[in-house]
Amino acid sequence: MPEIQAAPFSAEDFRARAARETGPFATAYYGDHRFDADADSYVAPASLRDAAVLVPVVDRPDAATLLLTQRHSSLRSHSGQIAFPGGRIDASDASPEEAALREAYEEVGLEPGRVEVVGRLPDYLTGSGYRVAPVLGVVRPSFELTLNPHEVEAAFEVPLAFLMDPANHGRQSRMWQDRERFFYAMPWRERFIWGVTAGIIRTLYERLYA
Amino acid sequence: MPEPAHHASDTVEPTASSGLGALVARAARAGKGAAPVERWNPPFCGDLDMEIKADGTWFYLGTPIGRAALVQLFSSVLRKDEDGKIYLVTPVEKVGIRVEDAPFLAVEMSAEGESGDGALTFRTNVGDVVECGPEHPLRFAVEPNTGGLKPYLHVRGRLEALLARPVTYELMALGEEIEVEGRRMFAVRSRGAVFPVMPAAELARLSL
Repeated sequence: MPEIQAAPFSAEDFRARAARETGPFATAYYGDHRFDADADSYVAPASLRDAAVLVPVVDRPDAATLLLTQRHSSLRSHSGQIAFPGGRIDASDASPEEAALREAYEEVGLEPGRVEVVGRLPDYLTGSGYRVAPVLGVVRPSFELTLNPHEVEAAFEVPLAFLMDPANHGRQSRMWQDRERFFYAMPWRERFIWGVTAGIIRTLYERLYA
Repeated sequence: MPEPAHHASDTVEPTASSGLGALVARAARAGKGAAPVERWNPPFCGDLDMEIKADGTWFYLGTPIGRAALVQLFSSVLRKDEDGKIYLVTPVEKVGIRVEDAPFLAVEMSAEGESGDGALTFRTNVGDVVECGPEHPLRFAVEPNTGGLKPYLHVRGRLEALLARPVTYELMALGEEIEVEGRRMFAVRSRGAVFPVMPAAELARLSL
C-alpha cells in the first residue's frame, strides 16, 4: 500500500486516502445496524429508498474541515438534526455523485464546480429505511453559501482532525420503539452530531483513517 | 472450578508470546463476534469478483485486499448457505463470492489443561478465537492427490477454518490412541470431545 505523505487531516491527505478505496461500494455493509448492539432485530423495510449525501471536506489552508448542515425543524424526516448535504436520488440523477452535488447546490448553494469528487464510501443503511451513498468531495474555497430556508437552518464547518479522532466518537443509547438503540454521538461546541451523520463520520474514520 | 493438577517437574513459565492469554491478545476481534447474518434473510443480488484463497488471502477484482480492517469487516458478514455457496450478507442483500478452500485459516493454537479435560483454542487469520469442543468440532480430510491431511475447525454457521500447516503439526503432536467404537483410533481431544483423525493402523502412512 502506498504511503501517504501529505500533512495529516489536510484535504490532500483526504484525497489520497479516498483514492485507496476500492469498494465494493454498492453493498450495505455499513449502517445503523452495525453500530447497534441488538442489530439482529434489524428488519429491512419492504422497499429501501435510495439517497446520496456529499461528504464535503473543505480545503482550508490551516486545517481541513467537514461542512455540515442543521436540517430545518419543520422537515418530515430527521428534522433539526445535523446532516450532510444530500437527499433522495431522483430518477433524473445519472449517479449518486450527481444526486449529492445537486442536493448540495439546492440545500446550501454549493456550486458543483467547487467540488472535486474524490471517491465513495460503501452504502450506509439507515434505521429509517434509506440506503445512503456517501460521496466524498473536496471543496475549494472561497465560496459563499446560500441556504435554502425550507430545508436548512444553518451550515457550519467542523475540523476534520476533531471528527477523525476516535476519542470524540461517543456511544450513546436511547429507548425507541420499545428497545434501546445504540448510536454514535459527537458533540461539537453547541452542535450535537449523532445518528446517521455520526454513523457515516464513524464509517469514514474506519475506512480511511483507522 | 477444580484446581488443576500441579506437576512441578513439567511446569513451564508462561512467556509473553505464548499461552491462551497471548493468543487472545493477538486476535483483533476476540469476543466481539460476527454480524447476526443467520437472522437476516435478504435477496440474492448476484456475485462479486471477490475470492478467498486457500492461504487466507482475500482478493477483490483480482487484487489482494491489503488492509486487515477491511478483510475483518468482510469476514464478519460471511455466511455459507444450504447450497454450499458462501455469501457476504447484509440486512438487505447477499452477494456470492468464491472460496478456494475454507473461508478462514487457523493460524495459531493454544493447548491448556491436561490432555483429557483440556481445551484447544484456535485463532483465525481474521481475528476469531474458537475453542474446539462439541460446539466447534474438528474434522479431518485427506487430500486426494497428495494424501496430505487437512484438519478443519468449525467456526460458526456452516463456516470452517482450515488449519495452517504449522498448526496442523502442533495438533498432531497432541494426538493419542483412543478406542472409538471398538476401534483403535489416532485422535485428539478438547473439552471432553474426541475427534478421530484416522485408524491407528493407518498412522504409519500418515503424510502431513
